[in-house]
Parts: sequence; structure tokens; C-alpha cells
Amino acid sequence: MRRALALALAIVGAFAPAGAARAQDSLAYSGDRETAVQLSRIVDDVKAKGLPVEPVIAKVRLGALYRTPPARIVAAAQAAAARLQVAREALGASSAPADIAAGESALSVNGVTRDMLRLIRSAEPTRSVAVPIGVMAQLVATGVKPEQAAEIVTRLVRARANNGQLVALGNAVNQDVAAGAAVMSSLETRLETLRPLLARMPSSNAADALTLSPAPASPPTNPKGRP
Amino acid sequence: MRRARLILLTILSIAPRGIRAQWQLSGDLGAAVLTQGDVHGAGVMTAGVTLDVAGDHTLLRTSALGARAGNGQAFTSQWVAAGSAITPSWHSWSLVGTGGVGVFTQTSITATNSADLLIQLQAGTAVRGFALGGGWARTSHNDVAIPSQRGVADAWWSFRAERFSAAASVTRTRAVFGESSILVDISRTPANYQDLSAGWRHEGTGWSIGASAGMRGRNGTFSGADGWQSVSATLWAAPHVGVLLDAGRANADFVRGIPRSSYASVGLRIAMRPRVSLADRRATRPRVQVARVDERVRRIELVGLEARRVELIGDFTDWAPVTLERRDARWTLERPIPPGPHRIAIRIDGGEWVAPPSLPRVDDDLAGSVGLITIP
Repeated sequence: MRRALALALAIVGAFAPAGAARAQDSLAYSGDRETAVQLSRIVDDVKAKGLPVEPVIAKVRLGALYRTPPARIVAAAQAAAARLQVAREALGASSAPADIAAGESALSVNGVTRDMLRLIRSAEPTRSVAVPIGVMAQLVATGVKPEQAAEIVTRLVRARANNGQLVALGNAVNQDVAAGAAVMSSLETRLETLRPLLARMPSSNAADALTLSPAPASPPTNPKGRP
Repeated sequence: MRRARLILLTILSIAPRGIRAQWQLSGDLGAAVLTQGDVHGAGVMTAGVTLDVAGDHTLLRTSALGARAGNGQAFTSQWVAAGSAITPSWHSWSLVGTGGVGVFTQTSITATNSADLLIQLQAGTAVRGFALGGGWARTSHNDVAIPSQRGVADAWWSFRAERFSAAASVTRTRAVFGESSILVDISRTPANYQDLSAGWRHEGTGWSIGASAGMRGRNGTFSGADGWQSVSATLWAAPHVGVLLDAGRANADFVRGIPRSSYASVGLRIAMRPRVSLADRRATRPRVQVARVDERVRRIELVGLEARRVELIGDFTDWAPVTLERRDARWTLERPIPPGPHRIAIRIDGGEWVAPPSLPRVDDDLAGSVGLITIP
């Protein structure tokens, strides 16, 4: 058991960034040797493919912290490794590790697909898209339809919205929804503040293209609505 | 009324199953000076309950409202269930279908039942747009069915906290109104009623105020006597409790069979879900903020969290617990954090690790959830 624990810690420690000694101190991984070997293989495989290993290591660390059953930690690490591969394929082989890690994180949000990552990358082929991808994932997790979230973020990236503006949009929608507002109402209102930016785009109808579903018509009632 | 209850139960049982449906249930209690049908004068007690359920492309509303005269001898009541469905937008165009049923009753006169359907072609968004359409209605009173047809044009425009609307409609019906009740013109000659109206509403933080006015013509002739006006204000004393002030006049509703009325009322509204204004940026729950310290370092702040100790884990702490520092009402942590999405969880006073309140939650692949935050 001691060997298994030591091996697990070694796996995590080998790929941990500098200054992560505190993390090792608090690890309480209790998997057996077989699990540790499996995790080691997954990490080696990810590294051999030139993919960032941090998202896989993160699953191991979190699983250890939560005392998650070893089989589930292995499954989570395998899932992260698979998503990293998909993210790189969608974003391009030359993408920065941070972009690939962001893509992996987004793909774990229910509804986000590789095509959405491709769409965002198409709007910004050279610079980092970690923040746009994060905002897209955040909008989806907040309740915005995935395709709509990807389209909105892509158009904003094309309109040269900066990272601050993108994050502000995601945070504002999330804050509205957390306080009880309808997703669509919040999105309509928050996008309104970005319309001047979109109006500067060369294609003049870009702002209009950001229209969302209109509000349902009010049910017919007595004009004053009260007896 | 059995039919009405059946429809209400159907709406209640179906609506909440809608994906991402939002709902609101509210009740009103008030006192009014009211002239409507059999009810005249001051000291009128009013009560109502309204249920709204909204999905991505649907809206259902049912409400029951009643007014009872101070002497307890006269009353009016109305119940309405209505629903709207809107198609996905195609180049900003959508088709909207709205249908409803209603019942209006008062002390000495048999109930008036109604059903109506309206189809509109709509362009624009919730911020600005217009809709054109037409519909049919059937109103039943004293075993007489009164069909009617109408054409409707609506337009709306929002600018910041202001919302403006305008509407024009033509209703063709054989219904006329007596002193307090709907009647059928025995000449069997339909009349065309033209309605024009405009409205404005301002949404403030914790309050709103609005006004609207309209006029009605009969067969193209407008008279001052057929105008109506209303003003209303709502003050939200708490997220679930509002005070309502209303005054004005309303024209007769040919479809619902509701007679002309005038009113001034004050009421209390209690809502099951908190009222949210998009103008109100104050969070109702503890929230996470990110501040820039320098080029690399960001400060994570948890605001409005009452606790003795708060710890945070995240990918930027290598999932090692870090105790946050308390600064006034904020719990803070400064770390170099690269731009992009990050996942975090917090533990309050040694409890369970949870996704921070107010952040969207995502699956952590380990049968739990963490909060998703994006660093600019």
C-alpha cells in the first residue's frame, strides 16, 4: 500500500508545476498499485502526444482530495485525455497548450462540441482563444443554448471584442440568471451594450445578426390587467 | 368552472416539465375604488393569483382575479389562461401563436365565457420589433355565441431602462355593452371597433413605473368618451414583496366580456420567486469577483459570504486547499492566474467542498461539480 501511495504521489509530483509542493503535502490518494500504473500510462500517453498534461493531473489531484474511488479517477483521467485530443484537433495542431486546455475544459460542459471550438478558432486563427472558449463554456453552463453561445462569442471575437468585454458579458449573464432572470432576457439586454462594437464591423449587418428569439407576445388580457 | 379547473391543472402539470422553464407564482391583495359591472364605490377588496411559466419558445399564464364590494353584496371575478408559442427566429422573423380561454362573472349576471386565438408574424427582438397578425374569438353569454375577428399590429422598443410600446387593432363583432354587461346587437349587424394605444414603462432598481393610454373608434368614428388611460407603479420592498399602485380607466373587452371600468387601487404582491431587475446589478447571493493586481496576478474575491473560515481549491492552486484572507466583507486570494477558463470550489467553515455560489456549475468527472470562472 505504501508503494502504491508513493507511486501515485510520484506520478502527480512528476508533472506538477514548480511550487506545487503544498499540493503534494495534502494529497491523500488511496488507490492501489494497478490504478497508479494506469494513471501513469494515461499521463505518459498524453505527454507523448505533445498534449498538456495539467488537465489530466488535475483530475488525479481532485480525485485524491475528494477520496474518489480509484476506478472513477482513472475514468476521469481517460476522459480528460480524450478531450485534449479532440480539442487539439478542433483548434489546430499548432495551438498553444493553454488553448488546448481551455478547449478540454469547455468540452466537458454538456452541449459543447468540437465544431464550436472550430468556429471560435476560425474567428481568431492566430492569437489565443482561451478566454473566448471559456466565456462560451460559461454561457452554456449558465443556460444559453450551446450553438447560440458559440455563435455569439464567435461574432464578438470577429468584431475584435477584447477579453474584458467577453468576460464581462459572461459574468453579467451568469449574475442575472443566478439572481433569477430568464436567460434570454439577460442575454438580450447584455448584448445590447455590445452593439456599438458590432456596428463597427465591416459587414454592416453584424449587429442585426446577433438577434435572439423575440419575447413571446403578451397573452391577451384586460388592458389594465386587474379587475 | 369544471372546464376552467381542468385547463388550469393541465397547465400546472405540463409546464414545469419544459427544459429550462422559468416560472413565477404571485398573489395580490389590495383595496380599491372601483367601478366595474355590479361593483361600485370605495372599500372594494381585491385578490388575485397569477402563474407564469416561460420556456425558450413558450409562455403560459393563468390568473384569477376577484373584487368584492365593501358591503359584501356585489363582486366581479375573472379567470384567464393563455399561452403563446413562438417559432425559432429566421432572419429575425418569427411566427407567434397565442391562444386563451377566460371566464368573467359578476353578482347578478350569468358568466361570460370566451376563447380566442391570435396568429402574428413578428420581426425583431425583445429589444425592438413589431408584429402583425389576426385572430378569431368566440364569446358566449346567456347561451348566445358571439364570434369576432380582429387584426392587430404591435410595436415595441426598449432603450436602457425604458420600454415603449404601441398597438393598433380592428375588432369586428356583433357584441355591444350595456351598462354593466356584454350584449348582442339584435340587429345582427357587426360593427368594426378600432383601438389605438401607446405605453411606456421605466424599470428602476427595486421599482418600476408606467403609463399607457388609448382610444377606441366605432366604424371609423372616434369620440373622447371612448378613451382610456392608466398609470401604475410597483415598489419592491423585498425580493418577494412588492407594493402596487394602479389608477385609470379601461375600455370594455369585447372578447372577454369585461365591461368598462375605472379604478384606483393599492395592493400587496407576494411572489414565490424573487423579483429581478436587469437594472439591479446587486447580487442577491454571495458572489465571486476577479480583480487585476498586475500583469500576471489576479485577486479572487468572495463577496457577501458570512463565515469564520473560507478555503478555495482550483486548478491554479493545483487543487490544494488555500485559506482565503478576510478583508472587511470580502474573502480574497491573490495568485498568478493565466487567462482562460478555470475551475474552483470552496469550503466554508470546514464543511463540504462546493461550487461557489453564483458561478455556473460544471461536472468535475468525479461525480461532483465545481464552479466555472473565466479570467480575462
